[in-house]
Amino acid sequence: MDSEAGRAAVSVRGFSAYYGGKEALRDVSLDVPENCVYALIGPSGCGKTTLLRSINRLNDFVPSFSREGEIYVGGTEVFSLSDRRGTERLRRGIGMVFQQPNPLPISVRGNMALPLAEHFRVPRAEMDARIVDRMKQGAIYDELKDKLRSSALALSGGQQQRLCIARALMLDPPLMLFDEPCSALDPIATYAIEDLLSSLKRDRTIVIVTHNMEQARRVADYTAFFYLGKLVEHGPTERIFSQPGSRLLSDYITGRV
Amino acid sequence: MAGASIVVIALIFVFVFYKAAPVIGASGVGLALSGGFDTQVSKAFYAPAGSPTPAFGMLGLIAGTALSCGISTLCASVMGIGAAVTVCEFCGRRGAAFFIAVVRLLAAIPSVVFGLIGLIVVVPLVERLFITVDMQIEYLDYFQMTGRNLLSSVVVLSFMIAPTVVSLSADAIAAVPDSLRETGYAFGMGHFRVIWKIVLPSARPGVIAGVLLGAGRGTGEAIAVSMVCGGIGVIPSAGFGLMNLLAPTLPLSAAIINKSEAMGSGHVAGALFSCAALLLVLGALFSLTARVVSRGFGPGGSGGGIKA
Ligand SMILES: Nc1ncnc2c1ncn2[C@@H]1O[C@H](COP(=O)(O)OP(=O)(O)O)[C@@H](O)[C@H]1O
Ligand SMILES: [Mg+2]
Repeated sequence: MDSEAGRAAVSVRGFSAYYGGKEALRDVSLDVPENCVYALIGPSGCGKTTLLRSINRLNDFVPSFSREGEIYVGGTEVFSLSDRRGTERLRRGIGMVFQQPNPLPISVRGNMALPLAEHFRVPRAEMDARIVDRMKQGAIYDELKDKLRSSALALSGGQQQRLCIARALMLDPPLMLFDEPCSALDPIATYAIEDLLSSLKRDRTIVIVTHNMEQARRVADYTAFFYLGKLVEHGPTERIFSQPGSRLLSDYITGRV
Repeated sequence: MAGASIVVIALIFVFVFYKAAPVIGASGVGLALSGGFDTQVSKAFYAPAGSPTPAFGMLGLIAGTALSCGISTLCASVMGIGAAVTVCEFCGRRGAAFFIAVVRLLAAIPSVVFGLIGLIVVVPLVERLFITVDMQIEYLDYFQMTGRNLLSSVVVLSFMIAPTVVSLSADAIAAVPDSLRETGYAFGMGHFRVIWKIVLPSARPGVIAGVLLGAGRGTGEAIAVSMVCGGIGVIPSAGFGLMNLLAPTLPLSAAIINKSEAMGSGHVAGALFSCAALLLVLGALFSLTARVVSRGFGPGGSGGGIKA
């Protein structure tokens, strides 16, 4: 098991999560291999977001949250980090993109510069070069190269979301978490982001929550299906969708759950 | 309804400027650039009926307003924004709601009560802490040094302005969505960095609106200040340095109260209406700017955290 945890980018072991007395996840174990897209699917309320926000310990900010079990990221058990610095360093290495695009109410450039400027003193020229590069990676540079100084709130939803992805890339995180990144976007913006995901996984690992099964099918190498807080089934996306191993999953795929 | 209030406001402006016109005409730019208001008022009061309108100089009063209001707005902003951040970010939702309710009560205290407390507590304290007999003698040629001075005015005004700053800032901070804070945490930022780089910038339009409305209240505030300011429009001098804080002062609004006993003379009335005219313009400027700023930037004016 330990060797497995070493090879996987994320390794979840016997993980249960609670909000007060209410159970949100029960005894989940799974491994996310490196350099792949791993999708978490399942009906609303089944605990996908809870798992995602446990990986970078963002759920620490929910007072009623508690958990059992372990999550390893790059070999480190995240809940063993007991001090503030440790968790902050952990989060720095994990990019997160939320369901609602959440640019700060400052300029496009200000948004891009923030994560890096927060942790390192970077000369201006270097910062600019890095911003251009990451905006290109985020497939947003051509659209926004003349709008670096304008407010990020003036962009369309799809542009805001890609800006948020590009912003998360500024710190070069080896692991990225996406929580239904397309649910607030129209189909064209959705395709733009799906394209982006496949180019991003070349040198990083991506965990994406989605309740759009077609999306999981299109972008994910592996898929895990959750139902009522339990991990029902997981494996290569191909197999999950062509030969569902459980009645629950096949019902979900055909839209009956 | 809105139309009626616009008409009333317009009439107030017309009336005040009509009453001020003779003095403004007789004084020209000297009205804003020269001093001596106190002696001019008493001269005008004893002038024989029918004499031509004398020139007035309000520089001392303008300086009094600028200094008392400027310094107290600065103090109130530091205290107020600090309090709003502390309460909203560290005291939990219920603690914050309770504190804000108390602060709103503070804002509703009549200003004469602030003045009374200033007179009973602040003035003697300032006199005991900062003023010695030696100093009084040293400055005897320039002004009379008592506890009623610029410093006392600043202290009283700060406590009157702070509630406005606190409650508008707190509203703006509370309206910053948690998703923006989480963005910061997800980048590995600590709580203080999130407050500094994310919460405050997002709340900025509301915070600035609070400061401007507070400054507006500061310029217009009359009763409380007139009770503790000393009542003489001394023009500050760079040579006195910090001693300017211990000199008596007379802001425009307090001057209207202070000199109103001399209103029997038409010329004095005209001079006081000139003060009122300037105050009207200042007040309008502050609240208009506050409006514009709080509307924020970006599409639909969602630039910051305030629900205007
Ligand atoms: N902050 C919270 N406080 C209390 N309960 C929560 C909280 N967040 C999520 N839950 C509950 O935990 C369960 C799982 O939620 P979530 O992880 O958001 O599911 P999903 O992302 O799959 O829709 C749901 O029943 C939800 O109501
Ligand atoms: Mg969710």
